[in-house]
Amino acid sequence: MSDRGYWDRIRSERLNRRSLIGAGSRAAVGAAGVALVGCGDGGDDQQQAQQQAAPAAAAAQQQQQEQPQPAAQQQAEQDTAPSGAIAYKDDGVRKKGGTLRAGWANGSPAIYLAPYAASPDTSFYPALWDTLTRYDAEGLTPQPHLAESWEFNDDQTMLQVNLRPGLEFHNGKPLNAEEVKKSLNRMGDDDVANSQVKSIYAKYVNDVTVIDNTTLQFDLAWPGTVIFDVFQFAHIHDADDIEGLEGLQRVNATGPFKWDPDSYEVDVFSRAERFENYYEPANLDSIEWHIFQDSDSMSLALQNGEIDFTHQLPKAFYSGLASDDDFNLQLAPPTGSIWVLGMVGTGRGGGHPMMDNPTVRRALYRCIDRERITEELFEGLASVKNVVWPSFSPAYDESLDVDYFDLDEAKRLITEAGYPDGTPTLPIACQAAREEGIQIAQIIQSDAAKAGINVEPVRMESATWIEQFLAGTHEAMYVSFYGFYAMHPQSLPVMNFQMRIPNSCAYETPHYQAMIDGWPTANSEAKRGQLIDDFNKILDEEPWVSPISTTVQIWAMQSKVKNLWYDITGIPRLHHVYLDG
Amino acid sequence: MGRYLIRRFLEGVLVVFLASIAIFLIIRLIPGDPAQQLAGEDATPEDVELVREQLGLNDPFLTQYWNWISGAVQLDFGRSFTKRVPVSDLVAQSFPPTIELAVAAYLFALVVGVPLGVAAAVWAKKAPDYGASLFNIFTLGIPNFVLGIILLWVFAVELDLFPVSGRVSIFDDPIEGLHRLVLPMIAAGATIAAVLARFVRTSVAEALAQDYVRTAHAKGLRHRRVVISHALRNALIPIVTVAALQIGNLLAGAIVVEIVFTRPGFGNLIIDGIIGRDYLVIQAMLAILVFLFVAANTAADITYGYLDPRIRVSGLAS
Repeated sequence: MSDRGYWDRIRSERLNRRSLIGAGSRAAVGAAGVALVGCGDGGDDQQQAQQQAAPAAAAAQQQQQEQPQPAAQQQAEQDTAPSGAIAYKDDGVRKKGGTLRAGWANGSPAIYLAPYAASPDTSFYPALWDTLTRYDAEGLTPQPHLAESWEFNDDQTMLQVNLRPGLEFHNGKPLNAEEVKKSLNRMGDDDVANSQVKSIYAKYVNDVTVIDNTTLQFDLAWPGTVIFDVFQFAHIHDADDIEGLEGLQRVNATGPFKWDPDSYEVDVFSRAERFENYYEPANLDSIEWHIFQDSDSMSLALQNGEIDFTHQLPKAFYSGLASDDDFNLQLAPPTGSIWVLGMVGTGRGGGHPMMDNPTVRRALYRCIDRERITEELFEGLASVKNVVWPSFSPAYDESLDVDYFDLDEAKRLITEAGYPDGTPTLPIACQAAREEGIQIAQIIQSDAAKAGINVEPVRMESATWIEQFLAGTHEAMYVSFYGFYAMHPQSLPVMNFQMRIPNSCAYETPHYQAMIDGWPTANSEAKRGQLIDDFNKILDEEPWVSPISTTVQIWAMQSKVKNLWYDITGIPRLHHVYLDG
Repeated sequence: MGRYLIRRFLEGVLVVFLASIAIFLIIRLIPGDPAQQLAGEDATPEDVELVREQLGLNDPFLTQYWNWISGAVQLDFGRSFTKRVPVSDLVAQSFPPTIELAVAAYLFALVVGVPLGVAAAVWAKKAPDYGASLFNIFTLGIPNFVLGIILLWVFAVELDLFPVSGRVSIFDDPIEGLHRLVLPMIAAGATIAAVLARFVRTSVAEALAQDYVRTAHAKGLRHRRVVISHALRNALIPIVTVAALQIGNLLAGAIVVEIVFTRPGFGNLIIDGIIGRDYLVIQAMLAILVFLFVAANTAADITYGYLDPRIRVSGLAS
């Protein structure tokens, strides 16, 4: 079955993000939102919403075709669309019971990590661990979780957090302010396998004071709301039993589901049961994670009814699922991660001398046909990314969000850089396991050649690719995912290895360093705004990382699985899921 | 016979020891740092260094090898880098399913391959022979993981006769265990069955042309007895050789089939270990596979002695 057939089927089943987004924003239906194949039971709210949205979607799509929008306007609609998307919101139904059987492809190293990992790329973490607050898919507004309220002082250098009363760990131990402090402070210890959360916690927080049993006060090293980025990722765990995590012997956590250590078979199976003393007990009785090494087999298991929901299926299987009433498909919010082209200078012993020249980098920036990539490769389900920020970010600058693809300008710039007759061959390192990255590189290769820039995709095994990525020694360029762009703008140069110093592109100028160093003393919105402007200016004039498009992550599930929604990182939340039928 | 066995045993130990060195070195020659794999794409150099130190990867090679091999002889293979549990626990968890599948597939191969080969030899150029050829072409031409997917699609999804995934121990629940074993067994054993059938056909056909077979017929023995007791028995030595050598293929095939059928076992561990550069897991798994392969071939050598006294005597003489 061809890819075209697959995407056409998806489209026919109304999984076309843009048509639905267009409908949501223009017709104010709000219910269509983002890609949802509504093949569920006839009476459920989601399908009703889609039925309402469908004519509007068709009309909006037609209108889009007739009147192309400016890229910035389209971008703004796409990024903000989840706010009206019922697919990402709690439908309010509380139907208790049942076991959700989740399929997990290729094993899952994440399952073995300590809870403080910053990349919880599965449903596992938010099911077992809770956080103080968490951003939902709408943007950077923190939602109460273990913390029920909070309050800043005037200059946002102190934050008082009030916990919900009566919280408990899974083993019944009281979860009070002292335990939260211990859990957060434990992140700084060397034996905790984490780098990202540890680094932002160490940077953003000077001290934590326990005021009373349910109240903590955070003395902030970096003023402002960036502290909520820490809360997003800092899973609260029993600090006295970190050792239990070794081999997952015990998980004394805080989330809506409680780990069952007796069920655990490494690389095969794990299970968690509803934690009845959670402040808002989950609908499901339990969740099972079935681990598959082969995604084809996982697809068959879904079709055969042996598992209820999963993702990372081969494309060909989505086609069959999209046309089958027994299954639903959902596209995760586009804020999880983006594809980027990294351009590696020579500062860390690798790279290419040409990449040290900002003019060359700007030329390459203009060789990326983002529209073509999203259309041909992702068939319109991804969004073009001209700038690194989503439109809801305080750092988003609409004036910069324009279509940069301009081969004439790229030719002019590369000539200006001293290569009027073409450049030497510049490799683009791609991970062999990420086929889409290779295809992106091939599209860039074909366009760049027209501007006289010779680039060549090179497939690399992941282990080698990561080694060079971390060392900042890829030969010239790489294609990769890029996370944290949807978080607070201050976190990007701290959390993201392509943006912080040292970084994977060996981009380390005094100006950039000064900008990053300026965050701690930026104690007003005006000062922080100035730094953000400065950051955008640097990235525009001397791009070392070039955004391309959002990533596409489709979740597939039996139609009985209801009320699955997502946080800002695109991770599904199983807390409110229920089984209908 | 005793000296022959001792010699074969010592040779086996030497092979396993040399293989352990080769495995240890080759894994470390593969590009990719396990500490970086574990620390993740966004780790700082300090974090990577910390992980490296915790994993003992900063120790000299000889120290690392000694730590590993001295533990391995006591079945302590260290602690998995990525899964944070003792490797011996992982081996204990994955060994029974893989052996279960391998034994079942081997039995399937013998039960299908040997009679098929004998039939093809006895009725050469007739329907059984052509049927065996067709079976060989079909099974040898399709990789076992593709065969597995086809079996899954037809018998699990379309006909819904078997489950797609998972394993139940045949000791815990024999019926369900066998139910879940049938398709993987066929997928893993079909190729071996084809290879065996081909060799059995050739060996038995050669044996049937020998004088002692004509003599047996002349003595008035029934054809079936001549074929089984005379021709097949004398044809067994090359068959045993091939069967022993196929154990390596069988284990490799079982590992792939495990992945397709989502059965726990060595397959998952080895693949995960290689991707995550989990040295201790890879070393343990490969060492065990080498040991099994050497043990199987040693057993085959010993079987030669049983089947042919001349080999036994030759072994004693040397």
